[in-house]
Amino acid sequence: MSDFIMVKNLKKHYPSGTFFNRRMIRAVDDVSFKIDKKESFGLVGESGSGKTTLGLCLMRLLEPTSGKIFIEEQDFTLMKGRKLKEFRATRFSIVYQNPLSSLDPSWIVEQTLLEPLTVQRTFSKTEAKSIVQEALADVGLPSYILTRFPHELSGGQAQRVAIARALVNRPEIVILDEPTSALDVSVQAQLLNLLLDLQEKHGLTYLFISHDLNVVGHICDRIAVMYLGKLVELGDTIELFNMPMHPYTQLLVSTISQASVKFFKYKLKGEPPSPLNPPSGCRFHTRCPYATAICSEEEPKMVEVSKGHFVACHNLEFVKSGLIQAKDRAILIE
Amino acid sequence: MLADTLQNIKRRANVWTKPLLKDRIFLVGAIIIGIMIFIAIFAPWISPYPAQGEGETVPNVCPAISPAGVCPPSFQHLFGTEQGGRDLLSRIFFGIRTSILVSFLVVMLAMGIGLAVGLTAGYFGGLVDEALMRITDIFLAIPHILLALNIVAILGPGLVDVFIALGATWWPAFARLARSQAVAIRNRPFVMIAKAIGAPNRHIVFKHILPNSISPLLVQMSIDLGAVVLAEAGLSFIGLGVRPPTADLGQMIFAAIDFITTSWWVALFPGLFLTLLVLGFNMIGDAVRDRFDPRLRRQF
Amino acid sequence: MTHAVPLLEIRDLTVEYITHAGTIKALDRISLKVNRSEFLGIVGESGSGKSTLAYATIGLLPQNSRVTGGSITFDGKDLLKAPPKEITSLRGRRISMVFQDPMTSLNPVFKIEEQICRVIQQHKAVNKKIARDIALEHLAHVELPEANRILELYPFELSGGMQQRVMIAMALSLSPDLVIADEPTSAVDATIQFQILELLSRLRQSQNFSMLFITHNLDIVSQICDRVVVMYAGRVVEEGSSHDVFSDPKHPYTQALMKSIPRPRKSIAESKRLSVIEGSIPDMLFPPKGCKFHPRCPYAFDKCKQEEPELKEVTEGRKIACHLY
Repeated sequence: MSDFIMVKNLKKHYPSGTFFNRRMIRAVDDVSFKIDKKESFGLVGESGSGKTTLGLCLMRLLEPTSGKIFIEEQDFTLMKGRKLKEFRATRFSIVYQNPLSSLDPSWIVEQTLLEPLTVQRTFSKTEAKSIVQEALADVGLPSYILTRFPHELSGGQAQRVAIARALVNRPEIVILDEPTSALDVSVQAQLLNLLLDLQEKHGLTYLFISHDLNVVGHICDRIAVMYLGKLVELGDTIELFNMPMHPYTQLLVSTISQASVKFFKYKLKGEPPSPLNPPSGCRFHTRCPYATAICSEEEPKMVEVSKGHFVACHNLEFVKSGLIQAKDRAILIE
Repeated sequence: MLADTLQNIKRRANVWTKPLLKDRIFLVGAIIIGIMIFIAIFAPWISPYPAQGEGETVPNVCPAISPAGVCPPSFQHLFGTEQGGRDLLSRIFFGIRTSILVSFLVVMLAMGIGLAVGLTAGYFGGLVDEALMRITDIFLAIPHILLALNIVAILGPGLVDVFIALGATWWPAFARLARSQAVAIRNRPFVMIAKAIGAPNRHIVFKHILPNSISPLLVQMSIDLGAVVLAEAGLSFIGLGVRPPTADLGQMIFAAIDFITTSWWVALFPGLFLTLLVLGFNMIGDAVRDRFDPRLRRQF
Repeated sequence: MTHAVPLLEIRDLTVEYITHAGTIKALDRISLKVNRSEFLGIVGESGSGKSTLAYATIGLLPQNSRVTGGSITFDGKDLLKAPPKEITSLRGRRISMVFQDPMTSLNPVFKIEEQICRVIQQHKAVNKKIARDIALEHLAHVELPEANRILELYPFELSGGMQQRVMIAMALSLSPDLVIADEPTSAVDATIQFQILELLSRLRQSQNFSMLFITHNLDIVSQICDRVVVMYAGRVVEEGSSHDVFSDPKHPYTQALMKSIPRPRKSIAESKRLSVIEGSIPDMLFPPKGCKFHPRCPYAFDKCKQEEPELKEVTEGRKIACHLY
C-alpha cells in the first residue's frame, strides 16, 4: 500500500547573523513522516518548534533546504516552474490563522473566491462563479457575503470565507495553520464541525497545525510533536494522550487540565531555548528531568516503540518507568 | 463587470468620504478648493475681461493716474488693473487656472512615477530595490530650484520647465512611501496565497499590492497639492516659471514689487488668492491625514 | 462564607460606547464582588464586555465610552465619583493591571530597570537605589533568574514568558490589593502559560492580593480562580465558585459553552463532532429583546423573549440570570 504523502529527511535552514558570525536557524531539521489519504494529521509544538515552517515547506511555499516530499509516489520536490505551480494549485490549499491578513482587505469576498479559479485562466468567468456559489454554500454562508469586504465580516464568517477559498480549487490536501486559534470558543466549535463535514464530503486530507492540544487531540487521527525543529514523538492520537512517551509530550499533555493523569511531577527548568542556538545533542535535554550524559552529546533517533508510535529519546526505559510511577500515584481529574 | 468594479470603488471610497464630510476643517477646505476649481475651469467664461486674462494689454485705461496702466479698483475693474491695463480679477482667475493645472499634473506625475518605482523596488527587493532606491535618493537630494534653473538654461522658460522640474523632484517621497508599503504587504498571507495559486507577478503587484499601498500616498497627495502650488508660484516669482503673458500668481506678485508702495492692489489680491488656494489644499490635506494616515493609527 | 467587606464591589454598572453607527451597551447593570485574597475569574467571549469591565475598574476606558449608571466601590471608595488625581494615585499602588500582550505593554525603548523603577518612584518617595532593590526583590518573586542582568535588558531581548513575568513583577511591585489581569496568558505558549498560572497561585500566598482574571479560556479559570463570573453580551449570566460552576453549570449558555470545548478523545468510538451553540453573538447595536441569549437557547420560552432575567441567588453563593430558575 503506497502512502499518500511521504516526507523524508526534510530540512529547512535559514542563514542568519552577520558576515563574521554566520549562523543557521535550523527551523526544520531532518523530519520524516507519512500521512494517509483522508487522514487528519496533527502537528503540535510551541513557538519556535518549526511547525508552521514545516507546513509551508510541505506545500513548497517555502523551499525546503533538503529532503524529499512524495505525493502519491510522485517526487514533489523535483518539480519546477509550470509543473510545480499546476501540481500545487490542484492538490493543495492552505488556511491561515488570521482571516484579516489572509484575505485581501481591499477585495470583496467574491473576488477573493474567484481568484484561484481565474488567475491561471483554468475556468471561464461563469463556470468560476458557479463553483464559488457552491463553495459558499458548502461553508454555510449566504450569498450576500459575496459583496462584503473582510472587515465587514465577523471572525467566524471571515474564516469561513478563507475555508471556502481553500475549497474552490478542489484540493486533496488542506494545510490548516492554527485555523481556529483567533476565534471564540463557540465559533471554534462551529468551525471545527464544518471542517469535519467538509473533510467527509470532499475526501480531504488535513495537516492540522496547532499549539492547542485540546483541539488537535480531538480532531486528529495521528499527531506529530515538534520541538525546536525536530520531531520528538509521532503516533496515534488516543495512544499518545494515554501514554505519552517523550518527556516533552508528557509535559504538554499535563498542561491540559483535563488530562486524566498529571505527568507534571517535575518542575520545568528554565526558558525555551532560542532556535538560533539550539542545545547540543537532544534539543530538549536542558529542560528534561530524565537527561543523562548522552543526551547532551548525541541526537536521539526515532524509534518505533509500538505499532505506528515513534519516539526520539535516549532514555526510553527510564521514561517508561517514570510513566508507570506517575500512573500509580495518578491524580485522576475525570 | 465594470459596473461591479465601479460599485466596489464607490463603496471603498465611502469609507473615506463619509467621516471626512463630518469634519468641519475638511468642509471649509473643500468649499474653498471647489470654488477655486470652478474658477479654474470656467475662467474664460466668468472673467469680466477674458482676453486680458489671457494676456491682452489695454492701453490708456487710466492715463491720468498711471501711464503704465496700473489702475486702482473701480467699478469696471473690481480689483484694479495691473501693468498693461489688464484687469486684475481676470488675470487672477487665469492665474488660478495655471496654479491648479500645474499642481494637479505635477502631483499626478509624481505619484505615478513614485508608485512605479516604489512598488517595483518594494515587491522585488534585492538588487532591484537597492538600485531604484539609490536613484530615488539622488533625486531626493536635488533642490527643485536648482533643477529648474538648469532646465530653463537648456529648454528655455515656460510651463513645461516648471512641470519637469517639479515633477522630477517631487516623486521620491511617493516612491519611498510606496516602497515601504510594498515591503509590508508582500509578506502578508494573502499575497503568499496568491503566489501559491500561481498568480503571475503582474497580477499580484497591480491587484494586491497596489490597492493596499495607495492609502498613505493619497494622504501625501492631498498634503502636497498645496505645497506644489507654492513651489510653482515660487519658481515663477524668481522668473523660472511660466513666462508672460500667461497668467501666473507668483509671476504677478513678482511684477508687483515695483509698484508695491503706490499700488497696493497689484500685490495684495494675487497674494490673497494664492494664500487661499494653498490654505484650502492644506485644510483638505490635514483633515485627510488626521483621519487616514495609517502611521498615525487612529481609530475610526 | 466570609462576611467581611468586599475589596471591590461593582453595582449595576452600565457602560456604553458611542460609535458612528450607534450606541452599544457594553455592560448592562453588572454587579459583582471581589473579596480580599480572592481570585475571581471573568469568563466570556467577544462582545461579553469582560475587557470593558476591567478597564472601567481601573479607569482606563476609551474616549468614546460613557458610564451611564452604577458604582464601582473599592475599599469603601466610589471610584466613579473620585477625582482624577485620586484615581491616578490608586492606579499602580493599590490597583494594578497586567495586560495581554507584553510585547506592546512594555515600552521598547526603555530598559526594564527604568520601567519598573519609574512605576515604583511614581508612588513612593524613594531614591533610585531603593527603587532598584524593590524591583530586584519582585523580580526574584516572579522567579526570574539573574534579576540583575534582566534589569539591564530591553524588552525585545526577553522571551514572551519572561516579559510577562516582568509585567507581573511590575504589577506587584507596590504590593497592590487588587491586580486586574486581562488575558495575561493568551500571547504565550502552553507550557509557559502553565508556569505563569502556577506562579500566580504561589504569589497569592506570599503576596496576599486579590485578582480579577479576565479570560475566554475556561480551563485557566478552573485552574487558579476561586470564583467565576460568566458574562454574555454585557450581562452576568452565572456566578459561583469555580468548582461548582464547572462541575455543574446551570445557565444554558455556560452549559453549552462547556460542551463545545474540544477535548482529546478517549476512544476511536468517540465522535469528533462537537456540540455547538447555534447562531452567533448578537449584534450589540440591535440586541434582542428580553434575555440576550434567547435566540440561541434550547430552553427558551415566551417569557425569555419579553423580559430580561435578573441575577438571582439560587443556592448559597450561586447566582444565575435565567427564567428557568
